[in-house]
Amino acid sequence: MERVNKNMASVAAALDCDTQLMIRVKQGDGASFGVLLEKHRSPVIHFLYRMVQNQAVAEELAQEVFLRVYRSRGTYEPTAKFTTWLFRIATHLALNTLRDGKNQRMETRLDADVLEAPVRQVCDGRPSVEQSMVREARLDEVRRAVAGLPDKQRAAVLMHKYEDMEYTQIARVLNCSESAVKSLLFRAYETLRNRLAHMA
Amino acid sequence: MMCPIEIGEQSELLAYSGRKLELSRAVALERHLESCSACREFVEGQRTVWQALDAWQTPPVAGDFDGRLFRRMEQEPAEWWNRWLRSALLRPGLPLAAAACLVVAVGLILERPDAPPEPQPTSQVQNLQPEQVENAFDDMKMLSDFTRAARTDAGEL
Ligand SMILES: [Zn+2]
Repeated sequence: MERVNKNMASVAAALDCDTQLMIRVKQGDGASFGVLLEKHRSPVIHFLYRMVQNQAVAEELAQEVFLRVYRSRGTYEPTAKFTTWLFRIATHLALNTLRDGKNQRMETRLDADVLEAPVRQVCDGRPSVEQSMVREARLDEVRRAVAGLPDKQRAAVLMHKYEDMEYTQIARVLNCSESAVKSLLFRAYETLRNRLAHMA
Repeated sequence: MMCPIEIGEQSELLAYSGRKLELSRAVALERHLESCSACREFVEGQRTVWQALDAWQTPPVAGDFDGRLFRRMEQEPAEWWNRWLRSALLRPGLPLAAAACLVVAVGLILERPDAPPEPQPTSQVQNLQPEQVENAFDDMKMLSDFTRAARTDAGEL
């Protein structure tokens, strides 16, 4: 039975298009690395940005993620989905950064320009000053609510919500059981429901 | 149906509020929602959370992200394809579609059974920095942990 399951996991990994590309990278095909980068650049950076909430740090970490993929190509084994491995590296780096407080070094948030955007008038159909301020205040509240979650809960929520990952895949990324992931998510969403209830 | 909250099956409510529950279960849950205020409150609260999270957009990625990455890759122990990829994809004025075609075309050429053998990668260790060595060990450990975890998962299924 165990052998059958292992075979099924191998077959699933073999069918994964990204895994095929990574095998070609391992064989020295640079174009396949370019395809993987093009496909996963934005999801990885967006995930890291929402984890550390600093765009410059997120991009720096994403560089490190892809460098590590590149460096590990020689020892890569298709034992699981490529994205599981990719997000495992990204999560590992983000959690280390948060633990070391490196995301606090750059005090200037690059998305501050959104908050300081010129005020628009309502007559041309664009948001009024008041509407823009309300929108920004709400967004700031969302960012703070997510930032207030414990690191692992935050990672689980971001992968579940924005990457549309199943519990099993999140469990593999976070190296824990599926029931542990459910518990992380339920506690995280409960906190968010309580904090954001007034936005209804 | 049993109350999902009472039996600890909040995943059912999460899937429903995200409109990801299969139809037959969604219908059964909707019947339950008519009589269970706790589950209704859960679903309404969760939809508010997801609407709030949907509104959270991310800043655009810096235009030179790939350039920076390829420059850093170049500092790694050299491989022929790394230099090729950089020169091919970062040529000024090369339109994105043309670059994508180039990638596909080269992929096809490399797939041809009669294609000439690829040059063997060369090893250059003279530029290795202590940080690179540390990262390499870190990567090797993560990769071996990951492989072990994936095999354990496959065995546990
Ligand atoms: Zn109920």
